[in-house]
Parts: sequence; structure tokens; C-alpha cells
Amino acid sequence: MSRFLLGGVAAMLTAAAAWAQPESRTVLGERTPLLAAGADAIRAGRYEDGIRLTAEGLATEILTPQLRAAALANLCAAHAAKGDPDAAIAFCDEAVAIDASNWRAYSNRSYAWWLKGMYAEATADIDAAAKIAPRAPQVREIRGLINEKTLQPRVTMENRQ
Amino acid sequence: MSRPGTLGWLLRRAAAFAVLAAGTAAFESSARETELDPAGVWSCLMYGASGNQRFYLGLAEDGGARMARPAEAHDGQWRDLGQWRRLRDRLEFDDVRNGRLFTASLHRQDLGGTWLGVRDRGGWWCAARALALGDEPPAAVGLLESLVPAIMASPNYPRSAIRDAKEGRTVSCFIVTGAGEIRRPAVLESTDDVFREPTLEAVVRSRYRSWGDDDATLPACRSFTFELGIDG
Repeated sequence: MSRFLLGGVAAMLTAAAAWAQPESRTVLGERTPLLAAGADAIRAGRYEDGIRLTAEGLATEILTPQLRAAALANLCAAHAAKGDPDAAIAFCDEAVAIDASNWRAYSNRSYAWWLKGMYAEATADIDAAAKIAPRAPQVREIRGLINEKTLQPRVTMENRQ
Repeated sequence: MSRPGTLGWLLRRAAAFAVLAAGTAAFESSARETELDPAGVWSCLMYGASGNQRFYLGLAEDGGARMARPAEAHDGQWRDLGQWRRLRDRLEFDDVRNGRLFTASLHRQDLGGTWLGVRDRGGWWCAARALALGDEPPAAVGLLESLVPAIMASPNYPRSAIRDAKEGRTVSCFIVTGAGEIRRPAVLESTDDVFREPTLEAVVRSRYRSWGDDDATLPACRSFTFELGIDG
């Protein structure tokens, strides 16, 4: 699941790039090299590097609110992938406070709630993510994880003879 | 425009129903290339919302169709159903008295399919009897045999269905040998393909108590309802 979320991280940066520099992702990478490198590191599973680079980028690079929220959502994803949901939730809270339309922040926070076994909260966040991005594979994946924990399957049989 | 309940109305409804049945048949586990020869005497089961009913079905080479329920078989009487029809790879006949149209795919190893009534619908399944169609139906006792489940295996709820929060229903029909073993199970109805495989797996793991000699066979069906509840 972590790898799946990290796949989302890469897409997240793509989306963030689109907000910041619609004409060129390369230009965005040049303007926010630390965030780009941080996203790459997180995607590669080097969470500590990714967290450090992203934190540095947040501190030193000039960012739009949307890109700041995306970077915070990346930190949220990295901490969740590390198995630290409390830290993840704090970053996602911050991301959502800056940009309430960042569906990845909701879906990442949903995954963090899921890690903590707090399925009602996970459901509320995945519902919020689904309202913004109903077709996103990450949303469907996390919804599936929640369903597995919260739905009780039952099969009733009836003989016909 | 035919009125509801008339044969013409039934036939038009059947055209749409047949498309559905044909599509479903393509997935049948017991589907095969060669066509089933429907002529002969069959021991059948019909199920629906109103219950289950066993009957003999006699299909003559010349197209004549007859039915005998237990009371009619007890009296040694066939009830004439008119002509059965072969439409491409499908068979159909009408039970006008009860306002039902029966259809079956001939690409299965066993005769059976779905029936459509004025207000309801259901399925039917038959086991072949090694008898030529005669003036009298076989003995009624052959329709009264009770099948007692010895093992009723429950299907596994597919994980993907839980993740997608899917519920559904299936019906599998099969032949039960005199030793109680289940033969040639097919999925006759399925609301979603995800439930087909677990249905068949459960059926093949099931069996009935021995009820007759080695050559005896009876049709039977089992419905499965897959539901999801909220935890806590």
C-alpha cells in the first residue's frame, strides 16, 4: 500500500507543477528543486531524504499556497508510508487548511487514520477526497482498505428442490 | 398491442429476456460446443419467488411438449403444452395455463434455463430420464424424493467484492446422483460475475445424503445471497 501511495506522490507533484507552471514542468522543477527532489526521494522509498528535502523546500523555496499544500501532503504521505500516522495527520491537517481542494491530502490522511484503526475518520476523509476526485485510483484503493475492515460479509444459502 | 398475460405479450417479453439469457449462457461453466438433444423425458425442478416445484417434462421429436406435476403423474396424465421450439441454440415452450414461457440454452450439458411469467420469473433445471416419451409420465414417486444436504459448503466472499462493497445473488443448478454427489454445476443466475467462481467452488464442495441407486439422478438448485453488514 505504501508503494501505491507513493505513486500518488509523484502524480501529486505533477499536479502541483500544473498549478504553478502550466507551460513547463521543467521550469517548475528549476524553481522548486528541493520539492522535486524530495518527491523523487519519497517515490523511491527514501523517506528520510524525501522528508528532509521537502522540509527544506518548504522553508526556502517560493511557493504558491497550492504548491505548499501539495508539499505538505507529500510529507503526510511519507510519514504515513513510514508507519507514523500521527505525524502524517498533522501535515495533512496543515495541507487541508491551506488548500481545501487538495484531494490527496484527504486521501493521505484517510490512509493515516486507517493505519490507526480509526475507520470513521478514514471514511470521512475518503468521502471528502472522492467528492473532489471520484475517479482517482488512490481513492478507490483506500476505500477498499476501509471496506475490508468495516464491512462484514455474510452469505446465506437456500436449497431449491 | 397484446395485453399483459397473453401469449403474444409473453413472447415479446421473452425476446428481450432471451438476449439476457443468451448473454448469461456464454459464461456458463458447463457450456459446451455441441448442442444438447432435448427430446426425451426429463425430471425437472422449477424455482421462483413463489416456491419450488418438481415436474416431468416430455419433449417429443416431433415438437410436442408435455408436463406432469406430481398430482398429474400420480394420475398417469401428461398435460399438453403444445409445441416446443428450437430457436438457434435455444429451446423454448409455453405453459399457457400458468402464463409462463420457458427458455433454455442448448449449449449446456443439462436441460434448463429460465422461465418468465406475468408477474414473476425464475429458473428450471432438469435431469435426463432414460425413457422414451410415452402415453403416461413416469411414476410420481420419482418427483417426491427429498434431497437432504450432507455438506453445505459456504462460498468465500470475494475479497475484491468486499473492497468494492458489492453485494449480489447467484443461483447454481446441478444434478444430484443417487450417491448424493453433485454433478455438472452451472451458474444459472448471477448479479455480478465476481460471485460466479465462489458459487461454483462452494457447490462442488457440497454433497447430499445418499438417496437412491447409482443410476438415479435429480435436479437441484441452490441460491446464494452475498450481503455486507456494517461492523459494530
